[in-house]
Amino acid sequence: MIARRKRRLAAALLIVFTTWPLVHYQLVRVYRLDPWKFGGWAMYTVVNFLPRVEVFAMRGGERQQLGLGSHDLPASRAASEQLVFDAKFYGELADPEPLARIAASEVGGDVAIEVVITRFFVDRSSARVSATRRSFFYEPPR
Amino acid sequence: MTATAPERRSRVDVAIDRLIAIASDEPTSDPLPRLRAFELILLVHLLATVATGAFPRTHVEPGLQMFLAAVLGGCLALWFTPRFARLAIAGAFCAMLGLQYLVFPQTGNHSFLELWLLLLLVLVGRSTRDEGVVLLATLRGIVAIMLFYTGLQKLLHGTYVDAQFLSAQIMLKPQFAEVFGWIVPADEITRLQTLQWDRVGAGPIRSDAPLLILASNVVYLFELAIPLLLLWRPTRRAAVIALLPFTIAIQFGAREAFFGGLLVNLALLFWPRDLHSRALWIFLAYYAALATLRFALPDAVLR
Repeated sequence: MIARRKRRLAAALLIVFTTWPLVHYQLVRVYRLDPWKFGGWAMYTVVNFLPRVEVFAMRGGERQQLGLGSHDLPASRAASEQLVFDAKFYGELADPEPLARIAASEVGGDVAIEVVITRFFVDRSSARVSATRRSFFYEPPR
Repeated sequence: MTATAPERRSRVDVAIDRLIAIASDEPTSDPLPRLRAFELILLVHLLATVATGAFPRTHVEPGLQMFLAAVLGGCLALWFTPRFARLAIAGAFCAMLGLQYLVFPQTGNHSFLELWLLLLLVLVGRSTRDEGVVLLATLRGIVAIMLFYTGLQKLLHGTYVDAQFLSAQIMLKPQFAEVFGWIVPADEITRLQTLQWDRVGAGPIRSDAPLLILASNVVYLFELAIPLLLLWRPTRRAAVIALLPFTIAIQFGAREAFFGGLLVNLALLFWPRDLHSRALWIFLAYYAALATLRFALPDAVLR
């Protein structure tokens, strides 16, 4: 009786183990999760380049890039590194809002913030480096 | 006298029994000695991995790493008392789960595999021969499914048919350029290495070198075929023998020596007889050598 229960348990674990990589493949396709991670056995399938994160402050119609590498905006720099990390692993699920909020508070004043995430990938048909850019706009609180 | 009614089995149970039979050995064989040796090698593998820091250490303080290594060492010591062996495995599972919680999302797939193996050892157990048969068959199933998916994912992502992925690895990682320098012309290697990955339009990141394309296709075809050959009894020995040089070949490019040890430990599960008990000292010497290398050359690219 115990052996039967164990057999069922083992089979159930094998079913979960077999199903997850298919779910993983869909998550990678839809949300651009890092295929190397999350236990889907898709390591060594796709090169996952580091994304690039840029932050712009928009004041009175002018768009100015914030130098996240400088020491003037240490909290923004740390948040930007976190966003690069998140975007690499969690793909489209990475949330740029914390970076925008920190950047807005560090820059000060009535500014809108734009966060741009650029993802590099190798285009399958041309085999050349290609990129997608996504912009996120955050209006200053009124 | 009343005859006891035979245990009623549902269709699901019949199907499960058939699956277990596919992955099992001859009914007379005893899986328990090899499972004991397998467990011991796995615990030593985990201890060596954690103690030498062969994992992404971004969010793990050295003190915590040493604490987890000490827990695993305690589990290893406890394992030698047979009635506490399962408790020791459960302890190792908790330690590894804690480590992967800290490391997440950088957790490598081999770490997920280790967690699955530990979970099976804890939940299924090997206190009777029948349990041992179920455990061995399930472990074999895990290995076969994992290998199959590594091949299937490569096929689905479509970067191996024209050697795109391997060309990108040559572009990015010197060790891949070294390995494939044998089969890719030198000027082609140089061309790939001078490409800039963050420059849109750079490329083409693929090579016409016939041997590279052949090697690239062999990789996923091998991974798709080997699980079937491992599970089919007549080809099991040949498949294990084929898997060993494949594992060694991976080490030249990926340099994942700890995973190499784990994969050999898993591959030997398919050998029709107990090789684990005989090879135990070889495994121990291998992990001792790896640990010594990691401590002596902490900057060496060896995971």
